[in-house]
Amino acid sequence: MDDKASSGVPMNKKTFQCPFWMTEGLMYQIFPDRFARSKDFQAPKQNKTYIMREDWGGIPHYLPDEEGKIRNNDFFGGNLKGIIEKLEYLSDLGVTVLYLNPIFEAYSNHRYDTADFKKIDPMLGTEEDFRRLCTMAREAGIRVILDGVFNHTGSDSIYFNKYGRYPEIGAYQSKESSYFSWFRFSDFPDDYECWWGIDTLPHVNETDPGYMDFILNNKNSVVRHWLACGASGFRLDVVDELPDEFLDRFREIVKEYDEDAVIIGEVWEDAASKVSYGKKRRYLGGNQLDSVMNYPLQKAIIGFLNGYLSGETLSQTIEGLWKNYPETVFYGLMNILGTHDTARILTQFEEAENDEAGRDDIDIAKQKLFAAIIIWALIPGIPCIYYGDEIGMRGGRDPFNRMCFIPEETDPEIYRHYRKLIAFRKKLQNCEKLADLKYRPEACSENLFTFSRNGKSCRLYVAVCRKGIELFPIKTEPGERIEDFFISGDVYLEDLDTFRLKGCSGVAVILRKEPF
Amino acid sequence: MKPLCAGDVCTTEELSDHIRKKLLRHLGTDPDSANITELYKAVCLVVRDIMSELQMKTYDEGSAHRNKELYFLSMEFLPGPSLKNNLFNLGLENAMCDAVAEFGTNLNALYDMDPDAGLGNGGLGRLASCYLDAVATCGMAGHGMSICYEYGIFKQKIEEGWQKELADDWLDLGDVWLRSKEEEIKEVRFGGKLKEIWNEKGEMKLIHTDYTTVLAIPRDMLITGYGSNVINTLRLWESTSPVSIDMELFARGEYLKSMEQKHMAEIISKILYPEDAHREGKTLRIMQQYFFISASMQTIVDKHLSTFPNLNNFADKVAIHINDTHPTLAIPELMRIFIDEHNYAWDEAWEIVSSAISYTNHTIMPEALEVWPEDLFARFLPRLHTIVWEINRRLLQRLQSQYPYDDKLRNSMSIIYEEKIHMANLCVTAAHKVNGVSRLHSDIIRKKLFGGFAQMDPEKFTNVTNGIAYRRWLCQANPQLSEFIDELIGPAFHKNAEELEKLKDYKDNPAVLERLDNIKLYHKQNLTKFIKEHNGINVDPHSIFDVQVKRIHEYKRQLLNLLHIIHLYNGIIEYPQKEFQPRTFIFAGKAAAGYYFAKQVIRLAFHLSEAVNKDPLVKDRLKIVFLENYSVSQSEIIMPAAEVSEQISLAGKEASGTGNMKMMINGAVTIGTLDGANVEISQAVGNENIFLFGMNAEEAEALRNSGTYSPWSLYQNNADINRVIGFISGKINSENFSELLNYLTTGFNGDADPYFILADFESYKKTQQDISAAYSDRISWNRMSLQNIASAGIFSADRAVKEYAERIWMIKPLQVCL
Repeated sequence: MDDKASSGVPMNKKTFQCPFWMTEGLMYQIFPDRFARSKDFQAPKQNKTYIMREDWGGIPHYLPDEEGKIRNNDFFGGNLKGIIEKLEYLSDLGVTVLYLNPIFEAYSNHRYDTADFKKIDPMLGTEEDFRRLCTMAREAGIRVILDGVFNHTGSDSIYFNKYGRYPEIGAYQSKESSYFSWFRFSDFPDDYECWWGIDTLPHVNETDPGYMDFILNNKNSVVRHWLACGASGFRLDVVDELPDEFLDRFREIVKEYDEDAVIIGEVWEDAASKVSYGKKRRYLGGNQLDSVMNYPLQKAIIGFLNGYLSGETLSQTIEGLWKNYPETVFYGLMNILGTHDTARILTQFEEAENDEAGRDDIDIAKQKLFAAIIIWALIPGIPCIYYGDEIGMRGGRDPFNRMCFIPEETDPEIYRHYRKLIAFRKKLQNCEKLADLKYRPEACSENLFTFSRNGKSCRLYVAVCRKGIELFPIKTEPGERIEDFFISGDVYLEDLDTFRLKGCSGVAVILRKEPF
Repeated sequence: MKPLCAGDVCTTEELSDHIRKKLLRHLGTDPDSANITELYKAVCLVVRDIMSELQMKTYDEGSAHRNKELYFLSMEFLPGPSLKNNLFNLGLENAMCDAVAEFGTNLNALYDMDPDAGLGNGGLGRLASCYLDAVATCGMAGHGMSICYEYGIFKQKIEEGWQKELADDWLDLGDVWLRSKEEEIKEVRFGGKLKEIWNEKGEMKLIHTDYTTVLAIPRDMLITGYGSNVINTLRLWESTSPVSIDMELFARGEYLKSMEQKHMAEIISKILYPEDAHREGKTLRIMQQYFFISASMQTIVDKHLSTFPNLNNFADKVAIHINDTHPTLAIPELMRIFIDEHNYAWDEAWEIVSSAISYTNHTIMPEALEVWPEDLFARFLPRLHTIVWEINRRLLQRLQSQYPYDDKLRNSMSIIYEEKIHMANLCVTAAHKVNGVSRLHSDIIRKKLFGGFAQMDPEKFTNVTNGIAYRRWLCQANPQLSEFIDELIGPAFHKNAEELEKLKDYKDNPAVLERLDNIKLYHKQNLTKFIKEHNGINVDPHSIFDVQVKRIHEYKRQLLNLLHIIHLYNGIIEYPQKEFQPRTFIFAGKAAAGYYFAKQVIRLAFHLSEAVNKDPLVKDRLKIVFLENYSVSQSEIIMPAAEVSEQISLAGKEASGTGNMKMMINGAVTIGTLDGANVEISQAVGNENIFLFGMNAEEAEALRNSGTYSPWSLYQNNADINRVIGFISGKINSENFSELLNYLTTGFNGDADPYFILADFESYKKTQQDISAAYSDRISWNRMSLQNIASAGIFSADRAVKEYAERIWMIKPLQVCL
């Protein structure tokens, strides 16, 4: 990367390589309770209070209960077998990586409150189901990565055991508990550190040797166990909360087990310049993460299409990542438009102020979505679909972004557009390795965003116009021809090498250096 | 009353005597100095009298419905010219020819004056007219019902390539064929309010108040059949207001307003909606539909009650056919009459209405499936709205138990869904029989479009492949061929088209094949003259006459044909010396006035024609002709001259097609996709006598669903396509065609080339090469031509109508159909 400023990130060049499979293909994020419920599903017996929802597709409970608490304990019964039944759908869509939100035993439906790091939540199935999922997915060319939630556990867990539901003595119950040192009590037992002050999520002391051993070092540590079951890596929840020591060791353990497994961090800002707790982080220095969730890109794309960021700003945002991130990370970024933590992408466009008259908001929102996914799918990195975005699911923030997946409610236009774009990306991938198609910023303006990617035998030009009319001439080099293009919205060929884009439209053009 | 003519058939003397009297008494003219218009009117009136007399003999108005009768409801009829057809059917052509000669005129001159009654857009309307002809021919009592549009389908002018639409004032002369029946005027009510009145027994009566009344005046056109004594009617309703002027408003000086009600009423039957295969939910259109349906249903019920004491046996005596969804309102209107006016309970009424109604689906194109906004419907037809609502409620109940877990399916089958009324679902729910119009199309509606209904009532669905009134296109338009066939196999085929099969005995007879060739040449020369007169283009009658005449529509893919012509042109430019089988490409067809793409296709045909026809390099080997104002009468000139019949719609889109049948029976060889009736044509004629190409319906659907179709890749990877696209991206005859370039390559949201023109191009091109090669072997080509004529018999409207009569309408002929 000669042409970019030095980022100042120290790199462990020898070992640091984001896995190749993060640079190609397609990722798909599943919120397990809401994606698919297998035909033979039966609610398991559990000694906890929970609500079994028999109305697949109903609105998740979002109001506080009598005690004024939002318990997130209504379950729709999505499970691992359900995902297995959907593998054909996923593979047909072109998915190569499945990212599952937490699947370990937990009290709530989101399962970020881990109760048992080594057990699949009974509602989701068994370890056997998980192994089978990994095997069958791999046969379909799909890897599975897990949500690693190591900053906190559930209060209702083997380890904390606040409610005494587990046989072992938990930290909350006694200072004698073997887990006592994992947690930080300021006033035992009721005053303890927890995540964002939510008392069901007690913080752990990640560097506690017992915890480090349990999660990482032991022969059958949590990480080793699930990798052995077939997982291909982890997305690390709230990485900013995890100390360097833990992260360094985490990488060693993972890569020792499988050099090709991935570690992706949940970082909402530029991960190269991230400061947490007053400390500049070294996530991307080569000893911690391979990749991060690309929230900056998500924000900038939405900002651009919703009209509050210019094309130049969007370009600068990406340029910033390009300059600051090691190359291998930049081409392996997990590019998202929505997750379980943000409102659905279609809803974000639908609820924006839309000034164009005469069209329904949903029509404009769709066109914005179509324009957005061109950038999302073709910028360096692996695009990740939040389950259901591809069929046009809508919904605001949690829990409305976690509704049930209903294939019958597919918006055929949206689904078809996703599929066409994925096929286009595949076509590009067949021309040249995507990691070898080097990103280059191109001239942008208030309403126009463009970039190119350049390889040995082919090049890609992308332009998205949010408003007005923009001309986008394609300057072919000698011996180069327009191999194919992908269009969202109103794009017109003025002549055989100049495109004209209207508002909420985009085009991606593959140029191939080959004599015709 | 003294009969018009002494014998069974009028003599020349009798005819000329009647014409003389008509001129004198009716038109007040001296018969010896009558001008041609007066003579035309007199002749038509005489023919009309003869038909009226026949009708009185064979069909007693006073005893309607003694035998079961058919009412064929259609928003469109395209009868075309009447005079020749009626004379032919009545066997009076020769006598009339001589009679007219006595007045110093040629009968052909009168034929030329006969207006093309263009009360329809294209295939749908023409089919309806073919069926009326066949119903009469088969001796059944069956009447058409429609609207007496003051202006029919527009007259097409091409100015510098642009289509211009001119009003078609057909009634100016066409009026002579219509007979007003003032005594059968009906009142049709629009808008207003509903009030419930309950009596002491707890029974409810709905009172409809504050409505606007429109009067419907019947204008009957008599319909003859070939060699049949049965004369039927096509009842065309004309709208008018009961109030000619509001005196109160007039007195207040509000002159325009005082006439408003009259104008509003009269506008209903003013003009035919000139859209083919695309319906927009327009206010006037729903008024047109209800107007003619309400008047028709009242008439049918009144007629029935003039013979029978009540409506209990209505369905035994009446078959009501809904030709496409436009007459769907017949269902709720009959329910209204039964319940509100004759006190039937819902279930009884439903049973009878449903048994009387049958429905033909004519399209699976989603943009052509009629949908009305519920609020508009409720505003204009408040009572019908409540009835449709109840029909839907009952339907949904049934669907809930049938498909409890499939919301999506239930929604798609619902009559009212998301505040829209889906007319096809209403038809399928009510009709006792539903049919498609070719085997392929019927399969698609049974499996896909109406899959949920077919699963519930498999017996309801059937197929009747379309048929044509072949006598018009063979016997009348091509007497040379018809007479030659008479010589070979006798005249039985005039009555029974299946007789044509016997021609196959002559397939290896060189003399017969040569005669066929000569007859074809005669008609090609005839068309050559017509082209010269109308377009000023000299075409070579010895070139292949390659014909695509039909409505201009994306799915019919005239653009594919044009792109292939560009390809041929490119070839000539590149290798001017290379041998080239000369071809004349003939196009005709109208584009809906608001259909921009279709107009661009006409523009391309026009300018390409200008560029190619003049190019000295081409040396007249390639000619392109776009004939303006395609009509029934024009088709009678074109069909006999056609050698290659272009039926190249994207597979799965054309319901049947009938132009394919008209050309086939005139000996043209089809180049076509496996679409609509082409499938059955290929089965009838054998694959060696038809040129099939392209994707089939499943392949086209799979390609669409794959989402991987990239016409641009074809452009990049197929050298011929590359040159053709390059050609249209430049100027043609100094004109720019970038819309068509973008239609094929970009498209909104990248949906370029939605009808897979470029995907089928290569196959089409190769098949066209095969045609050129086959044509040069004259004997084998003429044999193919003979095989086509001989195999066309099953595509007769007589056959189709008999199938309808036996399986759907349950109607028997008043006289036995031969």
